[in-house]
Amino acid sequence: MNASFLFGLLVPLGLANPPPVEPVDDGDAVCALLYARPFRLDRPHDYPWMRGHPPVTEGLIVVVEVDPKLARLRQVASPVLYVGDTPAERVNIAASEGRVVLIVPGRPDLTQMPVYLGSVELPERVDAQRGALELEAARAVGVEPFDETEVQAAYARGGAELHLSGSAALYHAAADLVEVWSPEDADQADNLRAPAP
Amino acid sequence: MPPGWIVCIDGDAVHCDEAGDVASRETCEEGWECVEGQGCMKLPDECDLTPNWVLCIDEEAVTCDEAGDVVSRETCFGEDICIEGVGCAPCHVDLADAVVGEEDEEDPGIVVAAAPLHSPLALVRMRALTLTSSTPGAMVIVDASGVSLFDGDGLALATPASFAQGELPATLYVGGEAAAEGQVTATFRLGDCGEVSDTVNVRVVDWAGLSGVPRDGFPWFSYVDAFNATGPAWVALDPFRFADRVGLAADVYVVEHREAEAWASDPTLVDVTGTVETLTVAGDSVASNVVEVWSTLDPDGQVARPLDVVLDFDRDGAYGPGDLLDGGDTVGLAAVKDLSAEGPHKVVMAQYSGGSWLGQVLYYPQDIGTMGQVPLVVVSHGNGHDYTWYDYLGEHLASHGYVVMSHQNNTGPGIETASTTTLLNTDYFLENLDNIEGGVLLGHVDGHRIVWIGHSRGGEGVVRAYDRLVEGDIEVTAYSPSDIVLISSIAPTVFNDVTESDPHDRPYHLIAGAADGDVTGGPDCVQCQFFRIAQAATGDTHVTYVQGASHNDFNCCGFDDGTGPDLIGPEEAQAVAKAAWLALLEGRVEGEPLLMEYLSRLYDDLHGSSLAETTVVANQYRVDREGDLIVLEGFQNGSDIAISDCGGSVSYDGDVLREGKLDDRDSVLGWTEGDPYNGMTQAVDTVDATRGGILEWSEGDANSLSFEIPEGFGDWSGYGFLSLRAAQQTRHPWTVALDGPLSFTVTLVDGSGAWSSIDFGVVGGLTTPYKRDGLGSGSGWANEFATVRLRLIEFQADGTPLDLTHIVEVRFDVGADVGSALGRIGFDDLEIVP
Repeated sequence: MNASFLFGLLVPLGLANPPPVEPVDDGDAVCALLYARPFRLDRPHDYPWMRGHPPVTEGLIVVVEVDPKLARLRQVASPVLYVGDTPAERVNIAASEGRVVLIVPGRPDLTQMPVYLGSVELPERVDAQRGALELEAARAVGVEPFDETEVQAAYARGGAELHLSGSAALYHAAADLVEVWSPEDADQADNLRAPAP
Repeated sequence: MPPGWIVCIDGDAVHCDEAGDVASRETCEEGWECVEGQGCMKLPDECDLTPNWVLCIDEEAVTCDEAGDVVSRETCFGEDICIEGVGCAPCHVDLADAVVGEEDEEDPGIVVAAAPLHSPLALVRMRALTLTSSTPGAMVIVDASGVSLFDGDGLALATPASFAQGELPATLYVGGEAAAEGQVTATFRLGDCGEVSDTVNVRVVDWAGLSGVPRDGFPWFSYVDAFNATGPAWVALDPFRFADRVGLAADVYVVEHREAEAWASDPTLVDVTGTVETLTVAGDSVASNVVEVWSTLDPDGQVARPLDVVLDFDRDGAYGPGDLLDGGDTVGLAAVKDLSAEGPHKVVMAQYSGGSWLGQVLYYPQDIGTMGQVPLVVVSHGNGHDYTWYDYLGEHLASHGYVVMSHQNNTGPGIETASTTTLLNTDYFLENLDNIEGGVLLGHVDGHRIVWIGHSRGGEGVVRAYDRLVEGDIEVTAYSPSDIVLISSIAPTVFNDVTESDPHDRPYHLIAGAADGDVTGGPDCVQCQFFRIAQAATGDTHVTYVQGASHNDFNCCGFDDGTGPDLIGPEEAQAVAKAAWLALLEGRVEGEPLLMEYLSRLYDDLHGSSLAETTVVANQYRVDREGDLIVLEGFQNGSDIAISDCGGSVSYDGDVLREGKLDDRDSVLGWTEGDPYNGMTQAVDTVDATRGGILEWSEGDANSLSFEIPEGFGDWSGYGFLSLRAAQQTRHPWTVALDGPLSFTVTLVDGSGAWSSIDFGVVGGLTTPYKRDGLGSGSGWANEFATVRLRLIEFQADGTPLDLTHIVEVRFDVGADVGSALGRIGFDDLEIVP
């Protein structure tokens, strides 16, 4: 997570082969679980954050606090943020303060599945096999799930399951959380709620 | 005497009557004589057998009447000779040009600029010859060789053509579509005149125009058409090319551009600069015939105010035969506004969403309702960016009359997803014009002229989107691949192979900053090597590489990633970008080609007028691979450095010449002998095929790199430029030692051994690599390839004899006497282009 580590992210990545599984996280990159709320959708949410675009009908909206240096989205050297073996969808930019709103497919047990920064790769290229390798590698470097107390507190902040119509409503809900948890992205939250023409 | 007889007494005829008396006495008139028994009788004379004719007898013209009598006798003198049937008359035929005197018609002859023969302006562009003959009865035969002749009605004249006296005087027009030497001859053969003729020698010369920029060295003047309205513009005439004008004076008019038909119907000259300059053509050099036509000129509310130049040699205030026109069929020159400054239209912004990942910001001219169909510019942002961060771009282009839509771009998952967003947002927009902004744009967006501009992952996304569109990988309803008329990427990533993120044959533009701290362009990061996409493009390709610009200088609000010295900041970086895009759109999409000079000339030679003089930019321009070009050397055919792509031999007598893949081998920029392609990021080993050359010379050396031009490749007539791409190689000791712009001399040799050389340093040099640290020892970042384009006609400046139809060698001469004292460069794409 220091400068030399970031520099290491820029090592040449061959195109013919996927990049090596080298999680950026050393166990401390994702510092806190701030919020978690289950949701259910009437119409599936297209989810291009994994190979195959699995449709998502239920999941979690999560807010985590990430080391700001690593949370900042870049073009090339951006690690994938995983929940367990699944890439999470990042909603906001979080350029400075590291508060990141996530859409997570399914209902992972956050007391069992760690939230971490995996390798530098494009999420759309991550398949189940790669996801499993990332989880394994993350655990190997000491990444652990949040403790139960923190998870319960996050769910307590989130409240009951959201029942939404589909993607647009999901993004509106996420935008509301962006506004609350990551004020630096308030403009982005507004943009997510742009009206119909 | 018998009665009734006629006797002759002292020449008189005396008639006797029957009585033997004198009945009458008649004195015979002159020419008559008395004949015994007959009286006064006419004597036989020259006219007896030739009534109604003119006889020539001892240079005397004897005119006979109908009765066969001599009417008059005239002694011919002076230039007149006696011509049977005509009388005293000169043996004369004349082909007269209005500009040059009779004495110059054969040497140097008259000079005509090559021009289309079937334009409304064709006759005016030609030279008018007046055919006369003062020899009555002469049947004049006009013939021409090497040039085309037209009659006074503009009809092509089949030669030889006959002209009877009654058809004279006649006006003939002479011209040609290509450089040629020829002549026009008028001849008649008549009686004692024998064969009489007059000849006008005609030279048709290639036409580079009149407007341009003076230079401090050969060729002394570069012919260009684009000028900043805030800066001077010049006009010049090469006295060797137009030798017939030497000594003549012409009024120099800069006038509003007129199409050919308008010129033909109204040749009146109305100068717009405030002063009609006068040029008296000196014979020594084009450098002596340069006239500044404006110091500043109001662009008149236009991006490029289109103008023409006329050298009015007959000084009658009208354009006519013998005058020279730079313009008409195309714009002669233009006064270009500050390309970074806002345009004349007020801009309306709107924001809306059509659903998930269909958030859009729209910028359009407030008066769109009064406009026709305008191009659509779609902006696709990068990762961690937002679609509302490109106001500077949207407002700028909309203020110049474009509709701009910036959309939410799903870059987080990757390039494939981003490309989907670009494709679907474009489709949504075009499909919903009746809903968006109350339908104000309906009927005013040209769905067949779509420009995609993407930043970063979005910059690769737009290229990938085009590839998918071509491959039919995704279904859209409102447009097709041919509707994408331009793709521009700002510092794009290159996650995919360039066979997938492939601009194909689309006009492609890449703009990137040397201080980019994200997509760095560095050799350590394959996904950052954006030059690869430009290299893969096969259509017209432009690169604008900006020193001191960061990744997020090209949006409003990204984090500060600037890395390196002399950061120029977002305002200047965006100004450079705005100028480049406006020139691209006006030039390539709206069809005003002279604006492309802002991307094809060296940046030091031409850039937007408000851009800082300290800003350093390298411009690359590679012409369409499928276009009409002659590839001399692109280093793509095998690995034999001694043989060029066109099959000619290659030799170099200096330190280092090598060719190979343009791929930095060790992924750092510190110089080592083991990585001869240090800093090259145009290719990735095993994936890209792009190769290029390396040339090195040491201080104190004078070396030459020679390319033999084999048969079949040496006729460059009809082409515009010799073009090559070159860059100083970063961190090489010679580059470090030079520490400044680099140039060398290009020499062309023709089949007769004649040669001509231009040191392109008179125009500008190859930029010093941006002095950014990192990636090894030393400082210096990318190898900043720039395209050097030398106009072929300028190798013939000041009468330099060089046969462009038969070039046998191109030579790069290097060393202190002909350019930079030392250096090491990468070079590629030595071509002859339109």
